[in-house]
Amino acid sequence: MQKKILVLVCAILALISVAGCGNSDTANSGKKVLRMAAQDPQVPLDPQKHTYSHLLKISDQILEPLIIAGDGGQLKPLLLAEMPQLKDDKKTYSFTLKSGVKFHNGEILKSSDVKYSFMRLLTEGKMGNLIDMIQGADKLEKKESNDLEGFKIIDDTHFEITLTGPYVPFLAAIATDYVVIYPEQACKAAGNDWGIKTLIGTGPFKLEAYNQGTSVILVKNENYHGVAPKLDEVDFKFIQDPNTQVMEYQKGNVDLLQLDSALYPTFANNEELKKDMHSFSPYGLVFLTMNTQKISDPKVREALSYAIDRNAICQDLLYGTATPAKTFIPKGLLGYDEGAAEYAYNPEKAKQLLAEAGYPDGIDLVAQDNTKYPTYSKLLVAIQEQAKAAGIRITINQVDNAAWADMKHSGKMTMAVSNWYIDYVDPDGMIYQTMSEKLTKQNSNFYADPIFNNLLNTARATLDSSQREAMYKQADQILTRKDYAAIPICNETMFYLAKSYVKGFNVDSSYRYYFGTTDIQK
Amino acid sequence: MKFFSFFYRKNKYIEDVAEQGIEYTSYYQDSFRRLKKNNAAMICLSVLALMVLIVIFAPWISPQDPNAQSLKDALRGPSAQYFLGTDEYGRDILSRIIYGTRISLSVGIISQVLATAIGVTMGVLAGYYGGYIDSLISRVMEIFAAFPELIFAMGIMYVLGPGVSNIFIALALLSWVSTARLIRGQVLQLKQKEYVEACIASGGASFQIIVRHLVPNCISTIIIMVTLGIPGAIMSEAALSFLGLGVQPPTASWGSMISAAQSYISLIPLYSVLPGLAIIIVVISFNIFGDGLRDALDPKLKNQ
Repeated sequence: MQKKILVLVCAILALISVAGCGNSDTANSGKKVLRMAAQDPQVPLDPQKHTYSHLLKISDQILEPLIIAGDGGQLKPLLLAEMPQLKDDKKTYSFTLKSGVKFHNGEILKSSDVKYSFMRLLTEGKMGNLIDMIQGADKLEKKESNDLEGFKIIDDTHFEITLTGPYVPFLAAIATDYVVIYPEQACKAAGNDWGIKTLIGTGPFKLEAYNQGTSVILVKNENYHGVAPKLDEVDFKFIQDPNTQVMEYQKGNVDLLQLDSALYPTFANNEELKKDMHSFSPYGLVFLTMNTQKISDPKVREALSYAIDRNAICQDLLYGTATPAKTFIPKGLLGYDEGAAEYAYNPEKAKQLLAEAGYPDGIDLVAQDNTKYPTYSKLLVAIQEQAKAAGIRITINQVDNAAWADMKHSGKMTMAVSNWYIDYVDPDGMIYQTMSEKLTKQNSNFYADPIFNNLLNTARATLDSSQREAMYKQADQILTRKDYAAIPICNETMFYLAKSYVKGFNVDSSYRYYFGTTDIQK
Repeated sequence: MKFFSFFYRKNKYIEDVAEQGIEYTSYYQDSFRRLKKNNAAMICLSVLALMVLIVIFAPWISPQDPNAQSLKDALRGPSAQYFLGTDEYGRDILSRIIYGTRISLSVGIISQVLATAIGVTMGVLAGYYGGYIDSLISRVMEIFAAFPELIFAMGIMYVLGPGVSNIFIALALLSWVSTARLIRGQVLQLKQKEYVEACIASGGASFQIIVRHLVPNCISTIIIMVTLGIPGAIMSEAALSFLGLGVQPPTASWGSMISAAQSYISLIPLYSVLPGLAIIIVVISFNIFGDGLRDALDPKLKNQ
């Protein structure tokens, strides 16, 4: 009897061990999994409502806009059969959807889904201003109407959008990560679970699990309407500390990560990591935003600009990972002024300007520092010390991200290091979205020069590109050389680490992480 | 101990005894003698005395201006010019640690003095008057004690805004409760003593009883609470500064230095190790000295 039991136990053990082997074999056999170290977005994965870059790295794999921008801003149809046609009135576009595009839940993409997504963005979203030039958008936003008047559905695959007037960057604006298309029924049914338990799009990967605080797991969309994705699975592992991210990378637990620029000096000297390091320069700018009501004399703002040693900041503080900026509109965008002079570093001239402004003994200013961005905190401390030489005494108040955003929106901010990376490749996305009268009120800047605003408003409705270019150059000049309402500091270069076996992956100046064409070849 | 003598009226009996050639030693003289025999406590006391000297003479000791940046020399190791290397702005780490002593010690001492002032007042009032006043103060203490310490401190800092003077207030609000509880308990005991009853019977005013009899008899408890509370306050300051709620840049504090050094821990480990070491030395010194002081002030250990 005992012998029989022993045999039985042995047999069971043998079976278990064989079964165990079998399982682990299938888990590893040929399944291509890309693991990326990421920051926890801490919000539902809904880019219409939350606009963090950490979130977009994930949502860009799942969700798609109608049109997509390639490197250099070249627009291509994505969910459309062809690029939309602009009618003779210069404000109506007609769209044809690509046929047979299926959402992850098997539903076919229809015109009504597009209209629903646009209306949701306008009524519930954060970036509604991207499409608020559609006729009737303002009424919808103010809840005076339940319908988006300028959006006419013709049939399931055809629709027309009419704008309030000509608006050149419209197609670029709807090609952004925020104007993504959701399936109407599923999105309505999910309610508050949208972006947490369910998120359905048309992209190359499907949301398998969003483990809040830990990870996001995406799996291949077998029915993808474009080129079939090569990866079977994409795992985003949330690791908050940038140092730990790199250690996990070195151990081989992650294949890809975006490098915190503060860590650059540590890893630029590491031969092993150096060969995995790739860089990209997103279209954008780091600048000092000034409250033009509290610091109302342009001479004071100009003095501050003279007090900043941009070369030392870029070369020594940021280890050469940034270049001094000389314009607000960055290189690569229409309206970039190649011939603009570099900002001079001249504390004596700054003192002289302060004296002219009525502050011969220097001036005391307050700056608010957002503790969420260590690189910008560093910049501000360096500027504080440099400005001292020109008699500008800056007191830094450190504020956490939420309080900082609150101060910014309520007009209480005096001065801060800020950044802007464009959402669509057009100067409108750079300068209108930050410095136009409509938007400076919301970011404690309050700059409202009538000539400047007139230029911005005319330029966005002008079809001739050389005329537009001239207008943007002039506007940039007024903003950064005459009124100094925003003081350009530098253009950043960003870095990511990718293992050599990660193929077909590249981040360009559009700052978009996309794994639809990525492969792993070990 | 001259310092405490103002609490006591000249005692005719003691003077008589002294005249008769009998050696008399007071409670505090005894305690100090016991403390002197405790080598560890005396070493820690001298370390603390050294720290106080550093605080006072910081501008003369530190080799460089702690806030002067030299971006070109950023993140260097130790050299002749910078004994302990430089931080990410090319500032001298040694000078910043020396100036950081000012912040840490002043936060430790001032916040504890404030906490003791609040704690003793509340404790004595609750213990002496009892009744409604006791219930009210006790409930307030329970409310204050119900929050997790660091979260509570962060909450106060959010309301008051960052800055050194607000750290004093936040940490004082955080730590008065334990003092108040101990004092209340002790006052409840002391109230039953004959000399207090005698004072009441002979028509002594409440204020007089509190100031002349109750508080002086709690002095040893208070001293111990202060010395043992200081390291806690120093650690809390470091934690708050680490979280960006403490001192504001460019002021140097040990906590904010460790926080900034995080990013460079594998490049120049000294940058994060040294301010950490400074915190450890001060905290251990206060703890061991406080322990020694408690032993010394304990009358039960008098003849050991």
